[in-house]
Amino acid sequence: METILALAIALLAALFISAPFFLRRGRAGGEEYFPDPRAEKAKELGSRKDSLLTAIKDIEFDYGLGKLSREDFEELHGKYRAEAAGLLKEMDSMGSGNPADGWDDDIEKEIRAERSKFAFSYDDEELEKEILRAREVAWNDSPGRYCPKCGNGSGAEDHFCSKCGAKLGQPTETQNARPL
Amino acid sequence: MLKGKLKFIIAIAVIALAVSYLVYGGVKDTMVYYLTVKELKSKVPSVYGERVRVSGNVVPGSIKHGPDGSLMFSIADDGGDIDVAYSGIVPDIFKDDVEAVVEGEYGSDNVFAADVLLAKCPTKYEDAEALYQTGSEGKGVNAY
Amino acid sequence: MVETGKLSIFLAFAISIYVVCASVYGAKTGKSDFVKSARNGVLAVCFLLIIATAALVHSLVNLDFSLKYVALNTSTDLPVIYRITSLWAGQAGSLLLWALILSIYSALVVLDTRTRSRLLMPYVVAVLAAITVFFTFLIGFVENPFEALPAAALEGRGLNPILQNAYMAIHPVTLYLGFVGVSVPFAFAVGALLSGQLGDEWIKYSRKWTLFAWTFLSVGLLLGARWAYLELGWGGYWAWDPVENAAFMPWLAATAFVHSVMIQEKKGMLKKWNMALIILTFFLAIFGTFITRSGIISSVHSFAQSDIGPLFLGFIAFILLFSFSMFLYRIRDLESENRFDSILSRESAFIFNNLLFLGAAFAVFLGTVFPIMSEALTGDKILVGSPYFNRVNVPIALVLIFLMGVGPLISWRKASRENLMKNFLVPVVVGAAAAGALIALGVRDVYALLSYALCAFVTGTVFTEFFRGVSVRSRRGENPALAFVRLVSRNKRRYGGYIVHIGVVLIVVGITSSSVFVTEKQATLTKGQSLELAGYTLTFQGIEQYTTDAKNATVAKLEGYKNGKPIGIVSPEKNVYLYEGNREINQETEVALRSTFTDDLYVILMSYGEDGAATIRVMVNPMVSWIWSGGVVLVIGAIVTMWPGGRKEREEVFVRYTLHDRDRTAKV
Repeated sequence: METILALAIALLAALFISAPFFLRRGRAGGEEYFPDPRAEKAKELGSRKDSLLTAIKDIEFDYGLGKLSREDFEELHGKYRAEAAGLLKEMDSMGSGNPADGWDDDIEKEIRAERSKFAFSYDDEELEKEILRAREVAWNDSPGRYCPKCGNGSGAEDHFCSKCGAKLGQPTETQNARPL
Repeated sequence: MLKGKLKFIIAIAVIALAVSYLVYGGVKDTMVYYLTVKELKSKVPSVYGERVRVSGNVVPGSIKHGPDGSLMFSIADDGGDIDVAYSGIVPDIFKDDVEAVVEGEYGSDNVFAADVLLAKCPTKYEDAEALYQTGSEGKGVNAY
Repeated sequence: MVETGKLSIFLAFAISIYVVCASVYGAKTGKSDFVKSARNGVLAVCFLLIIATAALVHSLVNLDFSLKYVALNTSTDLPVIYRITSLWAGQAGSLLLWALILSIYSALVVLDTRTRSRLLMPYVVAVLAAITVFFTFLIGFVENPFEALPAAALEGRGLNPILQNAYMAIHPVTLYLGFVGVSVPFAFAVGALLSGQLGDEWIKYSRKWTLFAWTFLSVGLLLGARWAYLELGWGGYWAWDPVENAAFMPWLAATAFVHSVMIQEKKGMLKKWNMALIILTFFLAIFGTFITRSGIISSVHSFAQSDIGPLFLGFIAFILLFSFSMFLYRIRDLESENRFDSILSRESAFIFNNLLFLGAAFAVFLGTVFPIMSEALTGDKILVGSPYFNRVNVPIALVLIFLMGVGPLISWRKASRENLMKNFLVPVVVGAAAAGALIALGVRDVYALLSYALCAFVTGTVFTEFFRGVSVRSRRGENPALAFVRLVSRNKRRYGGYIVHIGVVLIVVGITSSSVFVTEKQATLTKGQSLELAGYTLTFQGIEQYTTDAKNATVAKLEGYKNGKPIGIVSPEKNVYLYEGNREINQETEVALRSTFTDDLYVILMSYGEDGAATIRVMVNPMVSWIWSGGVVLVIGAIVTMWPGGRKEREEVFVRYTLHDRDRTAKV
């Protein structure tokens, strides 16, 4: 009787361990494991953004408590803000691929999936709002322009978006335009 | 910047030196030889009056309790035995034939004046046969 | 069940080997099937070791004396609860427990990181599995808990009576949760070295495991101290015994690590330091297990008391060599992002904190292995006594307490004079006032004064922090109680950490008082005679005897008074256990203990005579209960730091901030 139990346990274990080789679940083969570098990069950027958020909040708090001198605070604050803006720009430029790819969505899904692992519910709408607002910061800080259709960054002199081909209007117009 | 780094190195060196000094002094002042009865007897008379720790087996029948809570007993190994006088807390496991560890001074009257008494379970090997005969075998937690 | 248990252990061993190979292969070739299979393997190993443990517990509870382990550690009169706890009473069982806890941690790590850090995790899993391989090897082939006796014993040897109490029942488990838990951040670190993911990922994801392990190391140490205090009957709670030190050293290193990782997270510095430190912490944890299990330090002449000694040494050598060579291999990628600016800054406070903790760990390590080293070098075995440890650690501890107060308040990068004045005025005043008050009350011991003053200083800093935090929030219109709750919940790590510091302060105050101001008296009393000590009066009423199923008890009855008020009957005992199987320890002294907020009355029955006289030793230990209460506060603080949640609020702040910023820009 016990031998049967023991064999059953061994069998179960063996099945469980070999399962991944047989249940592919629609993934393309077992080869593509290395996570997409762009998705990984997006995750890395997202995580750096989180660290920056924490850092900004911490120094604001410390300043409020009087642990940081005004000049130190302003210096650090400015530094972090600039870094955050640069990050968001980078995240943004990655998000603007061929719109048909739905690449933007992929990245956001990844980021959302990541965040949900951190045990709090992240509202989709809030995410949109935040990305929107974050973009505004970036745009307001940057000297370049952004395509109103796909959000791709382009030089100040361009007349057409290099990604999607949409016509870019006058510099003054597009600077305040909100795509999407 | 270099000046700042120098201050750091100095501070670290100070900490390291202070700790080393404390360690060195501590070791020097508290080091105690740990001997068997055989070794102790072989070091007579130079060992008289020196603080040492000795371990041996309690000689059966040698334990005598004094009226005021003092204790006299002998410990031995294959090198002989010595008499021990001790007054203080006696470990529960202390009785005939256990391994006892005493710390104190061996007087020129050949009585070991101990102020620390520890006792251990007899042996540490798990002997299956002895177990079978429910002998006093095996390991347990070191009971001090 | 025995056969199933045995098979489960062998399977666990084999599968763990597979996990190491499959995980690394999968990561290197990009074949995710192997990585997934390896992760499933980790879960399978956990499942198998649970089965093995259940099988052993089953055999213990049912007193299957055909098994050596059961015969050694149980007996027919052993209550069921202690049959279960005897699982960790002996060598083989406690190794199984180690392996079980490790496999549970590994499984939780696997489940927790299903979609995260796909470049890092396979290597983390491989490291955890490699450690599991070692321990399953030990229990499978060297110290098998299911080893059978040539013929079933008629009766078991029984469990040592001093292990038959609640503290000793749970202390090993909590300590193991700490020891084993250190494997997780270690695995993340080595995983980072192997995978090349040398950023903050490994620290971030291992953080909660580090805190969890640290908490249990602390709890384990405190429970061990409380057990020693209650059961060993010498009035103290810490003897600098090698086994105690074995647990203390990893705690020191882990505490240093918990602090230094904060510097890496905030400023990107100390990357190399943190790597080396966690490797050291894990080494100390394994070394501690080794000391405790192999008996190498306790005996007069050191020879391994069991076969596992050399194996442990081999394992330790291997992990040190492997980890440090990987560390050196990656050393160029571990460059810091920032520089130190000034010696008067939070960064440097943290660094000094680390140096001191490591200095203490080094001193304790040296003192613990001194006998082995001296014998190896000179042939003579030389011990260092317990005064050594106190002499070295007390000054270090005092400076650490000072830093505990300075650290949270001093500013980052460079503290200016005004910052120092503004932040430290109140705490320094509090500390000085405490010192002054104590001197006025007659306290003259320098160490005690310093200790109390510094503890008051730290308390002052913590209260300042809380007060300021609450007022900053209240200024924005929140009511103070709500502000307090929100303050803590939005900065759990910071304020939880402060609560832990308060716990430490309470413990230090308790240790200081009970060490410096303890009083002791011994006397032989006849009926009616009294003994007086530190405000207590004990009058001897006589000896009584009673019998239970397990023991013959002899009790000395003393009527107690404290400062004139009656406190009841104080009854220290000497018991003789009836059962023959417990022959090594069949006598037990039961201390009579009365604990209050201010002190503990600790009475030992030394001996009693036929004439009805009893010799008792009385100790009054001031403020010992503060140590245990401090421990509770420490754990509460630790739980606060580990409590999940709180990310959403941070996003809100950023959004609000950004809007704010937007408004400003718009105006321009």
